Amino acid sequence: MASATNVPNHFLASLSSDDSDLLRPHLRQDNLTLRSILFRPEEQVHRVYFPTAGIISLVVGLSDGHWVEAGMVGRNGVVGGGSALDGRVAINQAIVQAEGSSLTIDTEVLSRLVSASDTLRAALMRHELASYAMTQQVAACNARHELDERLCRWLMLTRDLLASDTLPLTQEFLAQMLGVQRTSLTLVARTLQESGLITYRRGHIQVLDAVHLREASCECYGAINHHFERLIGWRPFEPGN
Amino acid sequence: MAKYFFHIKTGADLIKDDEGSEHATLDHARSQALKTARELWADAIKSGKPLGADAIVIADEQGQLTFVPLYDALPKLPEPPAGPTEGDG
Repeated sequence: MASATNVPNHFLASLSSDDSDLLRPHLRQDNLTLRSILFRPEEQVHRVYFPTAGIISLVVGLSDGHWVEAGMVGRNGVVGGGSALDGRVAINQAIVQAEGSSLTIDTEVLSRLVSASDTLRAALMRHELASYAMTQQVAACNARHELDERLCRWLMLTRDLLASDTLPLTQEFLAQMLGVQRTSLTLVARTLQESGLITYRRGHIQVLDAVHLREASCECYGAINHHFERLIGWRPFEPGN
Repeated sequence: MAKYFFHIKTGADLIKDDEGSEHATLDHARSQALKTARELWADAIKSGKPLGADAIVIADEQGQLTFVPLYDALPKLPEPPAGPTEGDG
């Protein structure tokens, strides 16, 4: 049987045809509803997600009620995969940042399948490493980089995952994900707008010049992509395409 | 809860906030604006870039405006150290 290269999730499409055959009978298509929470910290993860459209943010909650983003996953990867590798419970919260759809599998079933296939387990391990590399990069980025370059990095990653120049985002949400006040974001977004990189209208951002938006991003955009390319062969959609 | 808009005044320009956010009272919205102002100062000082704003203008849904100058967010400066007074008078 042909491998699932027509599957619009990079991780699934990258599996060998044997591993695809193992997974296929257990996959179910689910909607990703905006702002729905897929799992919370310390909770049992019942389903593992392979998004085909939309974005899921991995966020860390602090005791002051703020949530800050540690990473995002879309059509490139997997959400909750660690639980099938015996992670048992969620370490952070997964929330739908941009609505879409996902293929999903029962965590226990996936756990059984990775015990049966070394190559499937290795693929999932590599993905979890890429995800770990992303959150480490984001930690360094949040500590050292300025808001304007972090915002550009964030918009570029979002654009890659959505494969679209139209990003449905409110400033409130974006500010929360980047751990800043909304007004700080308004000010930085205005500067990007004046430079002709984006336009912002209530509820969505339009990328006008991806080449320069990428240049205005900190190195973390390239670093995150590099990890994903090296570990799971993911290459985002290039600016100008 | 009521909706307040946080416009940014920069010179003669006003950057409009068209999303707004919910706050219990105007006082709460004002303390939010001060928190934002502190963040704007901090970013400007750390990056060495211009402040980019001189006040946050809070508008309620009736269009009532409250000005929060960025200067209001500065911490109290310490007294200048007592130095030689020669030449001061």
